[in-house]
Amino acid sequence: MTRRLPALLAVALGLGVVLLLARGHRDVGYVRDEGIYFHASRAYADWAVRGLQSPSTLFDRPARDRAFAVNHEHPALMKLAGGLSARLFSAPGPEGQPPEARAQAGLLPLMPEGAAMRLPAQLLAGLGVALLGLAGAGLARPRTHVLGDSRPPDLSSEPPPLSPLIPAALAALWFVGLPHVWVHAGLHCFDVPVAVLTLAVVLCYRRALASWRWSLLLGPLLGVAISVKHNALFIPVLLGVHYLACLALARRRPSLGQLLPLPFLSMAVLAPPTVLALWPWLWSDPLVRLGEYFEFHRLHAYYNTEYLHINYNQPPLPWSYPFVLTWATVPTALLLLAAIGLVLAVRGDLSSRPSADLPPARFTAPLRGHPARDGLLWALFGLFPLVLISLPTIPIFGGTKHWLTAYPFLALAAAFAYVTLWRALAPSGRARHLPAALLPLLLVPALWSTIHGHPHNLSQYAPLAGGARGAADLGLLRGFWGSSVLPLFEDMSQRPGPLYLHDLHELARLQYEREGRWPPGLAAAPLSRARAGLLFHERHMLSNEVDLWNHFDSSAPLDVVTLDDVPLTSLYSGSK
Amino acid sequence: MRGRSRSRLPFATLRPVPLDATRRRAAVLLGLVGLVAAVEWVAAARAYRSRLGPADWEAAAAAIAALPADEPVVLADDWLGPVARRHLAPLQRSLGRPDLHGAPRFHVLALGEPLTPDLRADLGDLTPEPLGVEELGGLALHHFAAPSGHVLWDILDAPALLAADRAGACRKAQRTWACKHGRATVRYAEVAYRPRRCLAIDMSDGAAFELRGRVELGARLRGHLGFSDFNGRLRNDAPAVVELELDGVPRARWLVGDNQGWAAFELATTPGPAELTVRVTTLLAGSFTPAGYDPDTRRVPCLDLRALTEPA
Repeated sequence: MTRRLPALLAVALGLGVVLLLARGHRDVGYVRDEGIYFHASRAYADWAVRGLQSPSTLFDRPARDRAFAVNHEHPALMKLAGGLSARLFSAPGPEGQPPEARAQAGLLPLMPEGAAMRLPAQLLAGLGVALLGLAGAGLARPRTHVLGDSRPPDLSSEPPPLSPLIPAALAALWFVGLPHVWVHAGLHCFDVPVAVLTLAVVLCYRRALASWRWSLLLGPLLGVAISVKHNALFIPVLLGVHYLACLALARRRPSLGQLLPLPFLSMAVLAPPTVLALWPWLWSDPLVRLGEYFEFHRLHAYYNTEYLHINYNQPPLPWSYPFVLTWATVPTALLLLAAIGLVLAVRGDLSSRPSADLPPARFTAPLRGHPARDGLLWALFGLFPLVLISLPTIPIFGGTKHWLTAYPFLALAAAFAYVTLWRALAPSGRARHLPAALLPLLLVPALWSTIHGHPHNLSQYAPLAGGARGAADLGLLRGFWGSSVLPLFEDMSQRPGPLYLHDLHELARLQYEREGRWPPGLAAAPLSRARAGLLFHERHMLSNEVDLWNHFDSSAPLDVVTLDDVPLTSLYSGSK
Repeated sequence: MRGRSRSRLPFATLRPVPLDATRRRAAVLLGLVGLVAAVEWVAAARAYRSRLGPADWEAAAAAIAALPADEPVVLADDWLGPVARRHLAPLQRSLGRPDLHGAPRFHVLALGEPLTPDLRADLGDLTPEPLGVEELGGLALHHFAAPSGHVLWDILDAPALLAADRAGACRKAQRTWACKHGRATVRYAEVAYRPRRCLAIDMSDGAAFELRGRVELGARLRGHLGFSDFNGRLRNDAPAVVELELDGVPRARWLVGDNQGWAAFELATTPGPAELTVRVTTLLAGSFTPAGYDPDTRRVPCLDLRALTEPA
């Protein structure tokens, strides 16, 4: 097996994912948050293009603040990238609409404006898959992982019992094959991008412990991650815990260079200016605005979320929430494999010691020659997001998307378990093909779930949870983001307006209109003036649904979007 | 190529050997993971398909059409409601029932277990007797008898009652009484995350809404009070007071808070005509917000009251 083949597989998987997301997500409706991100993206990209044409504009504070005030509670990077992508690839909106309500043609008009804005996040999802493929392939190496050891494996002394393609495919598909990862991976949002950037930072950190070049990259890369979403602020803390654990487990007095290591200096010195550079909102009053940013997220509102038939909208929230939701949305065999991988890897990490002939530690390569202790990294990054969300006072406001950052590390742990267990079993003869032959057994339930759930994967659940029907029986959240609406467009176009939008954000509706997808002439209105109305089903939305019954004097919807019999969105209409 | 040299490697040519402890553990763990995955294939085949097709709904519609119109048909699986009501218009008649009292026979359309926790709550202390089941493809129609009397009178269907608040008489138009201090409307409301058809009494702080008139009583007056909606309940916990008078004599008074959900109350009565007065007082109707108390964003108490006969 050449070392190039796993790399080719990783790249092929990444590209395939990007192509599938780019095409497949045109069937996924715009979620609430995307509406505001689309709006912000246009404002940011306008500013950037004006800045390219006339660089002095970049330093015009009122113009900059006008552009970046929109949705300034999140960093700008993904929105800026989305806006610029639209400038490149957006197809023009329909003729006959005023310019402000019509998508502008990009330089290479290939796709609708919303799809173009989703493209950067989809590219990052592809990058994540490729990184997981590469990291997974590395797990098939037969040697103990030692930091800074770039020698090729010595196959004559200890041959690899598994093709690297197997852990590569397992790690990549464990992650992106999950329905909730898939649906978020295609959106113009930040959750899968920050998961991918977290993985990238951790992989870079791993190299940086033995290489000054990677250390210099680590700081800016962390800055990029923080510029995607605030989850990344926890990365240096977790890396610090890992680093201290490595020093402690080495059982020898750390050198001065190890106490002031370059990777952490790089993060401390290079990440902040990177964040500042990538978020023009902070260019004025950075400390005040940073303070506002932290305050916004510290005091984030408690949204409504259904969990086991109870609607939670205030603390204390149940600690079991992220764990049960993870079980309900990730196939159990994959979780089991990840758990085995974490136990095996952490156990190995705790018992391994650096060799006696370690090179002297330098601050540019503080852990060169030490065991990599990947298990500790996977455990820290795979469990911390779930533990954090399980704290009773942490607001729950979006279901599984808040701990997607854990999944790449659980995927690697699962791939490690698969490699380790087969290596221990050492199958021979025809049985040596079993690891590859049985891989589909593990991956198909997740892929089945995702393919079947498309384009409603926000409402999809794992097989042992019973899919969408089982989740409805269990009383779990359904489709809180107002996206399952595209199948109703035809019916909506045949009803007299105006239409009550319910949880479909007006900015998301405007995006459909800009692309010529919204039923022509169908205006939006409050329920009191509406002649038809949408309802996105969720436990707490019942109060809106009874309002529709009262208004239309009917509780029978005209049409219902379902996933395996479970209502996701209803269209009501009446004689009014 | 390195891959081709693999067959020359020592481990690849070994005959099967007895499993040592490590190999045995690995085999057990891989077997366990594989077994779970195999179960998931079966579960996926069951979960990832629709269980209900047009033929199932047609069969259900025919079965429900054959039932007496005054016997309630309720849906066991609340989440199926929108789809079920789209196909089965008669289900709308029983939507928002206060409970299953007053229905000596009732029918439950279910995908699985018919008496769900919600329906058991609606039954209260009644013990239903199963009368039979009709299998309708993916659905089943379960028939039950319950030792409950009939409904003699229902506040939601009683246009002859006079309404007043402390400022005087209220005007009635269609389903709404408009009063000086607010209004009361017969409508659907969300109470404790379930739909109820009830009299929504949207009055200002401390105002009492009163209904009175001559009614035919049975063995008991049974009612409920709950608060709508979930946002209002989150931002106000003040109770409301329900008072009943018969022939001018105060007979009962209940203090109801929103943590009681759809709170049931009952008063034993002597069968026959009587002058009934029902009074509901909202102590604090508004909402407590970070900016302070907002009297105009209301949490609305919703009332139902029925006269029931003795069980036959």
